[in-house]
Amino acid sequence: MSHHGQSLPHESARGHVTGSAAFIDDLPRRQDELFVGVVTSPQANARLLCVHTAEALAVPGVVAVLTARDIPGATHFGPLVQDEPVLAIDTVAYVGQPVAIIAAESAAALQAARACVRLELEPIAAPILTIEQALAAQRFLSAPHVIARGNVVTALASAAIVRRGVFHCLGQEHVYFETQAAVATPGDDGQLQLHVSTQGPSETQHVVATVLDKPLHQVICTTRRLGGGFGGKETQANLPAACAALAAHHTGRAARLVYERAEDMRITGKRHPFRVEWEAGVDASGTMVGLRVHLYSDGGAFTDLSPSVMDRAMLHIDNAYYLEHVHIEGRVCETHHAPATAFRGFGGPQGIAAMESIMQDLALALRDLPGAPRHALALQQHNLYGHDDRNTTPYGQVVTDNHLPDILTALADESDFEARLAAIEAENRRDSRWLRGLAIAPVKFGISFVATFMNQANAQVLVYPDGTVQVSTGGTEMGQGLNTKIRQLVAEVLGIEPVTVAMMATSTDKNHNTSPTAASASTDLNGAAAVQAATTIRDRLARWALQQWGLETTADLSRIGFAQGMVFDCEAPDRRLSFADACAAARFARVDLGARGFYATPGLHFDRSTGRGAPFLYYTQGAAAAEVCIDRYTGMIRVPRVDLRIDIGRSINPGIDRGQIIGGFVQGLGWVTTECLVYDAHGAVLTDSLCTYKVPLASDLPAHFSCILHDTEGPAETVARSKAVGEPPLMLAISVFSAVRHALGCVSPEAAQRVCLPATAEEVLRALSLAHVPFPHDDAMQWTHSATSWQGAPA
Amino acid sequence: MVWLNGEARVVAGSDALLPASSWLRDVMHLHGTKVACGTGDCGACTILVATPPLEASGETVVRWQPVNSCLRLMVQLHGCHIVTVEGLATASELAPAQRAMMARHASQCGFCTPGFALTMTAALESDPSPVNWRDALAGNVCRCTGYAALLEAATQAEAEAVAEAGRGARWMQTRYPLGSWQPQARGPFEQSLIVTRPAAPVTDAPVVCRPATVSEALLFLQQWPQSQIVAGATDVGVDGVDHTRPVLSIDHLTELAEWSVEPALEPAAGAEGPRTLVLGALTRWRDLPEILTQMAGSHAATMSALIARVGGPQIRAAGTVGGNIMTASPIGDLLPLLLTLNASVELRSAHATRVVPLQAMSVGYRAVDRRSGELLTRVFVPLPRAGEQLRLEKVSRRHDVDIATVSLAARWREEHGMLRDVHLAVGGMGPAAARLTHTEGLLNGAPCTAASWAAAAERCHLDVTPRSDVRGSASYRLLVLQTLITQLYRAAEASA
Repeated sequence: MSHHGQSLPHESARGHVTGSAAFIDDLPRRQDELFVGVVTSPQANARLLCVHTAEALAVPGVVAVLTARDIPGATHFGPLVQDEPVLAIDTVAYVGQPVAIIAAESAAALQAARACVRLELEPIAAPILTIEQALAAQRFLSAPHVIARGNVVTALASAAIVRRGVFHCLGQEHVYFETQAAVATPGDDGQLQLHVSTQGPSETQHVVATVLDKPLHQVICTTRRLGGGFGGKETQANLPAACAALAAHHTGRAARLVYERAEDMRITGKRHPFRVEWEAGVDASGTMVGLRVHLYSDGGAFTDLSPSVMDRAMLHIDNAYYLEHVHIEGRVCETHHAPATAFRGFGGPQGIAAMESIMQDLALALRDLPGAPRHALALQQHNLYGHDDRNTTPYGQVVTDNHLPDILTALADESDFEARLAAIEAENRRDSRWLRGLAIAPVKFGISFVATFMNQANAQVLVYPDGTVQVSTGGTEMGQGLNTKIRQLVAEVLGIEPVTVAMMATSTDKNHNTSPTAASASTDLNGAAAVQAATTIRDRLARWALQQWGLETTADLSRIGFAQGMVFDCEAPDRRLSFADACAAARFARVDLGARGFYATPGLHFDRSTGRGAPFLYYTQGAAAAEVCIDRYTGMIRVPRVDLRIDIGRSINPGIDRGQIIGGFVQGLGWVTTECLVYDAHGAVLTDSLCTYKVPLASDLPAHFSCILHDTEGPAETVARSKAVGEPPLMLAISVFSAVRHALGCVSPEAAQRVCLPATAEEVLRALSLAHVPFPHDDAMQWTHSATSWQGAPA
Repeated sequence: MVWLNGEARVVAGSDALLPASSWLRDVMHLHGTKVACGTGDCGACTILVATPPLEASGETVVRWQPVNSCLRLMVQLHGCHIVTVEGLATASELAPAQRAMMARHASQCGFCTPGFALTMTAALESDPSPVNWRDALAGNVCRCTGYAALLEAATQAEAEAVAEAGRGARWMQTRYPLGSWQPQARGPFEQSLIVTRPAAPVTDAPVVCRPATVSEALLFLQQWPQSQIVAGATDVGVDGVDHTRPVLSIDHLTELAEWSVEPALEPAAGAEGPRTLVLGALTRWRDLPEILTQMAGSHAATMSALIARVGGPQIRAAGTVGGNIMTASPIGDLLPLLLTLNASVELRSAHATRVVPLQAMSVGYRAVDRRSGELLTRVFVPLPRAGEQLRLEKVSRRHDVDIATVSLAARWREEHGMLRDVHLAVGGMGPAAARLTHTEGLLNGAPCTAASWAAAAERCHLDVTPRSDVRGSASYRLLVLQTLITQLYRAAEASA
């Protein structure tokens, strides 16, 4: 029986449920280990005149207090542009920006010393805290970038209906359960060993080496598991790692830095808020003939990954729809917030949510037009990419294996969409308290890093004489099940039980020059590399077996079978050895039982300057139908029912993939409903605890939740014909936001148009209370989310 | 002294004021207990705690409570048995919740997992009836799974546990049979305990006092009036105790957790036997629904529905009615209800006892009229009568386990087409939970019509001073309050 498609438990499941799976702060402390903490700025946009450290140094138990002046190497870092200071120099940009590092003998001493570091700050100007303020001040982190096709001006001029609007969405806090954490331990010959909760050990190694002015071979970064990442530890794990490393470097002692929750929520960047100004034209049949969009994101104070996130948003604004004439322009705004960063979907959610809002708005505009699609779903289906024509994206990639037409048809059927829609709309006219909405959102999400060079991975497979195996790859395990799938893939190649394959920590001294575990592609990349390495060993064993059995003349290695823990001659199955015996004998015969695999995704290219190329290996596609129920008195929302259907090819582990799908959906549900970041007028994040920042609970999971894997053959070019699953399901939750828009649209188009994302109770009630107030375009241009409407005002 | 996973442990000196999570992780080096939020909002650090039943009670079944170890101070656990995730499984066998979670892919990153395993185990242990798992797990947050697998695991574990219980073998009862630790659990823990600073002169304030009786608590308060009183620690545990003041830990005083029903303090003329619910100050949220079911007749469900939305199971097992009153949160959870019921409170000191209307207790933002040396001992709650209307609304960002942005409690009756005895109280609309006296005045004696409610709602801003804060803007709060008051007539219509 193949190990592919088996729902094996997570490789660490036993460790998880018994609490023995160790995270960074669970590692035993070395005897000399120091407690490290950072002192952060209480102000945004101020000159940093002086950092007074003497008092803190005088606190008993304090060993070192470090500032930017103590950095031996690069003072700045960043994945694209090295503009982010490790510790603030001359100015502080945002509230929570690290300014100094304290290393102490005890947690108590560290705590006491924090209060003693005095920062002399002089305000420069009022901080810029919103995209709108940044636009007014013309502050940007990137140049305008355009992806365009056709002639939008003439297309819009010829359209039967043209609508304009502005879509807003706020950010999202990752709330990985393990906060950012790093331990740095000085080792041999000036080497530094890091244990970091990072999605990108190689990047962390690189940043730390640069900051310490060490060559790369002097820094080792090891990661066994992360207590959640979601993109928040792709680049942002580097700063705490660098701080721990600086403490270790200056004291010669082991140093541990673990952010407290509130600290983490203040220091680290989040999902990008977006403002999307759009103008769309449809003909009388509902075909979208022209679309012009301007996307602005809030990148925060430093560049981080923002231009790449913007690229992905631009590459996903089409979502599932063919856009013949289109102009997409994107630009990252600079504000005085923590640098916004990767978060599951990486700009995709913002782009897709904007497009789905446009669709909902157009559906309302077309509602009374004879011959036009009768509801949003019909409009969406009408505009889907075609199979043979109307199948090229704005950036020129042909959409192949397009399953969305089938998925939407099936989903409409299994969710009883038409009948429920009619019933809900009728009920909405009668019920004075409850307002319901129903909507479907399709998702087409491109898989691969847009930066082509990042689509590479390596793996190391070690086979021991007892037939057991150790595998390590550059991919980090953060709960997503990567290691479990790789274990299955390797076991399948070698014909052994997955339990005999141990997944080892990712470490840069084994798996170097790796890309961060991101972009949903870690199984595609690392799985393929591991399969290649395992295949190399299997081929060596097969060659040895042919010799052993006097079959040297047979060049065909496939004559040797590997299955059920046995190595055998396929043509004479009685000629067999256990895998363990084969390994022991092969080792004696000096066969190399270790191998490295390397994989680089073929065929990818994208020219950013022209906005043309084929950046994605394939698309993961799916759709969800969501029903919402709004309390008209309070604006509070419940989601009673969700049906979703998603194509993930041939699942390597359906149990794990189902967890990714439902988990991603519920995380997206939080983004579009209750997760609302609120800042004060000075730029301090007020939602800095789980008391004020509300992620979904078990009781928020829709009572009816159907999750169906769309049955397909899967792409021939991926490992075991599987498809990426990490990010796409998050975007299926946009259906919930669309359902809110549909519900509000039943009251008035203006109510629907005014609601911004997330649809908090306040946001919904505000829209309802203004349902019958006209909403001209000039007002729409000034409109913002209710959570920001008072934050920028003077205190 | 505590039992930890079956073994007796001595908690040293000032470790008594450590949060249990710190003691477990840093002193005992048990790292299975994870701290993810540190504020009692996520349940990752959940431990199981059993208080040995009193000798006299004759009880043989131990009630295992899920507890947020980041909030609970070690002194509060004196004489209790703590079970952490390390003590859940045996060397050879996993607990049903653990087995089911493994089988159902209910862990992803694994950080919240120990907490879920323990909360599930507690629910399986204590509740003989089918568990509503969405509610039972509401005090535990998972960022990875989306909960479906966790709910399935819980259901599977329940099926297994029911089967095992049928053979008389609930997991915790078998794993830690009472006989193996109870006999030593009596006596010593009923004596008072005072921890002083080792090197301090005798005149210096003690670090912490755990009195044996209320009288001892009052004597201690008389001597150290600046003491910080800790009951369930669901509020004080968030920021930690103030180490400059002595801590008076009263959580364990069972005499303050008793309740009874008595005739009304001041029976209204002509009324047929109104009754007053007398709640000890340490009555837990957890116990209120059952008390109300027995006492409050047709209004019990309304009140229980509100209580079900206060915290998760861990918080409701710890938080107390008295703590809710004395911490005087502007939101107040129970306070709007108590205000509309004209509740009063009993405050005792070593030499005096006084009863004060709850309404008179509030003296500003998070401030109450508590005199030096006083301890809140009892709360008198006149129960609503059958003919009265009672409505409780809570508006929050998230439906469950969230602090209200606005809460409204309303009680009134109708007489000959007129509104009478209208009592309205709100939380989240000013520095403290408060009655809407002006609005009430407009409604009392007004005809029972939608117009009366609407007119009053329009003027309710005269009673409140809402602020914009992290939970919502002032304008939203006012809009919600007006809408809710306007719509109260529908409630009246519905029941008419």
